[in-house]
Amino acid sequence: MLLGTLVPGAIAAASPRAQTTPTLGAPIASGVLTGPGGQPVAGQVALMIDPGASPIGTEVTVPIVASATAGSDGRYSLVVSPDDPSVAAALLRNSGWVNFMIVAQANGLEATTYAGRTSGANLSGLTQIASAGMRTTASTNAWVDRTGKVPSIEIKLVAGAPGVSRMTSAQVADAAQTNAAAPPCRYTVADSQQAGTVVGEIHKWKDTTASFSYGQTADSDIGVGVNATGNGWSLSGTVHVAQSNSATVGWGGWDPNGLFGGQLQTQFQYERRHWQNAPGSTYCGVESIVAVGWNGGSSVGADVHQYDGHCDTAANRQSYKGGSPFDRTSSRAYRYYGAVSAFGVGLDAQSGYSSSVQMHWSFGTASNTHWMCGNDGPTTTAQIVYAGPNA
Amino acid sequence: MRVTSIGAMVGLVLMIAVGCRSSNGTSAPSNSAPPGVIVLGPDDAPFAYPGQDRTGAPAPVGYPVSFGSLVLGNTTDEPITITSIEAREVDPGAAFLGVKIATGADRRDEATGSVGGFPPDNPGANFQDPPTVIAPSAGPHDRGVDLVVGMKATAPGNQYIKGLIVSYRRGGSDYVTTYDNTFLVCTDFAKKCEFDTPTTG
Repeated sequence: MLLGTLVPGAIAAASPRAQTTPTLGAPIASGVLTGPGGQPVAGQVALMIDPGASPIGTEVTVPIVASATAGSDGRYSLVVSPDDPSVAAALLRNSGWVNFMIVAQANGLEATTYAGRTSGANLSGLTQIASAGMRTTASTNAWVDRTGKVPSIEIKLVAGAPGVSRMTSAQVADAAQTNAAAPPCRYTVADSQQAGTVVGEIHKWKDTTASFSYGQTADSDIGVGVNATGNGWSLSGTVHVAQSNSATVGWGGWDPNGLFGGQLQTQFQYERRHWQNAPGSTYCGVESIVAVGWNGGSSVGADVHQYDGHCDTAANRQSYKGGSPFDRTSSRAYRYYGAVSAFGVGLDAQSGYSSSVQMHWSFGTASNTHWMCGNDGPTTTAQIVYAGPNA
Repeated sequence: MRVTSIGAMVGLVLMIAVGCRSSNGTSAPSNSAPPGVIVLGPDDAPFAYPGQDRTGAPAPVGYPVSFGSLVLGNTTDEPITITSIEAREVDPGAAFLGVKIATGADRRDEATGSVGGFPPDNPGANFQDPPTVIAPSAGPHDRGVDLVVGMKATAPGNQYIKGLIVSYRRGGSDYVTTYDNTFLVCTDFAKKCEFDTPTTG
């Protein structure tokens, strides 16, 4: 084996992607409930799998697939299995990712937040599960976010915090009687629209061609808007859109001798949902705006070329020889605040450079040196890569 | 200015270590998030995928070229020694010249993307050869060390090196991890230097 010949006696290891230890029953979400001052609070937590897109007017029933009680330390842990048909269906629909809503209740307050996780489960094995409710021997790896981490989710149960509403007395009474056997929630798809969403930006200086590609599988975390009080919207968590499309979308073709720095948009589908409490249900009283899919298409948003032309003195500068090509295919892109306006509500979005999101530069030979620089690291890891000048 | 102010901000981390076996052949402890050598990047977050970036440069046959910049850090609380860095795949028409480890505090003054010569002319780099010790990270602003890869074409055409195998020692155990970066030297100056396969998508 190659590794063994290079380092006698030393055998290694897998990629960061594969290093999660398979753990049966690994929680899909865990963390702490906190109250005023960040102090832990006891309460109830329930989790529902996001079912994806539906036509306008559809009434969708969403079962609670996991619930837990947090003790005085506020700690909670929610476990679902990729074998669960609703989980398997979500994984298949979203290229191995599952998005979910968590509702927490404590001290007469209710908090709603969203998150997306991937398990590395065998999707081919899940096809049968989703269609026939069959079980599989697919391993249940740790549920991780896009960075490969298993992040703790703090849910703040503080009046006025994002996604937090005050429970009615009836809800409080019902919550005391139901939890593990809580009935499903329902929502109605009040509206659905597509909206241009920033998925990245690219910068080029003179004597350079550049391109940016997104897809065929989407790779973006998009904020979820929640109107918990009826008085306004706030961002409360994110969903990960990893839906496959028929084609990659691309940006490029700019004048090789011109300057370009622009934010790049593609179309995502968003739903506005009115949640309602089914009889006996206590967990579902909000309105939400959720990204439910990627439609493709490409356009250029904000002009940000004013940040270019300073790399020769920037902290994270790198020089590229004239005639060089460079492909960037890893690490995370910038988090764009207000990356999209869906139903008039600004949502954030963050994409990742990956096998699905890539940038390419081809530096011309009219200049010996092409300066590039990252906003927070070298060009291989920075969230934004700026360009110019040449020398 | 946006570039420099934000540029001072971060140091992130991409993890590369996983399972391992000690040099005497016994398994070393492993866990779900094994500490070790990491690739530094933004947000103190590991990459979802190992680096698959590709960098190329035109150069005549026999002319050395330097490529950067993989930034390695140490997320553990004990020193890690990089014991060797090897190329995983070297085209028959290419030669791997080794990897220099830039440790100097001022190395970014002339940091390498792609440049002629190996090692590159960078007075602040304080280049070292393995074994090189990486101290535990001093925090999010710790820049770790930069790897600069050297290669040359030994025959005409597009010549590639694909993948780097980084071996390191931590706590008496040896570990190996692989990066999927690609490096290209193009010798035909009549053609535009480009990768032979398009950017995957």
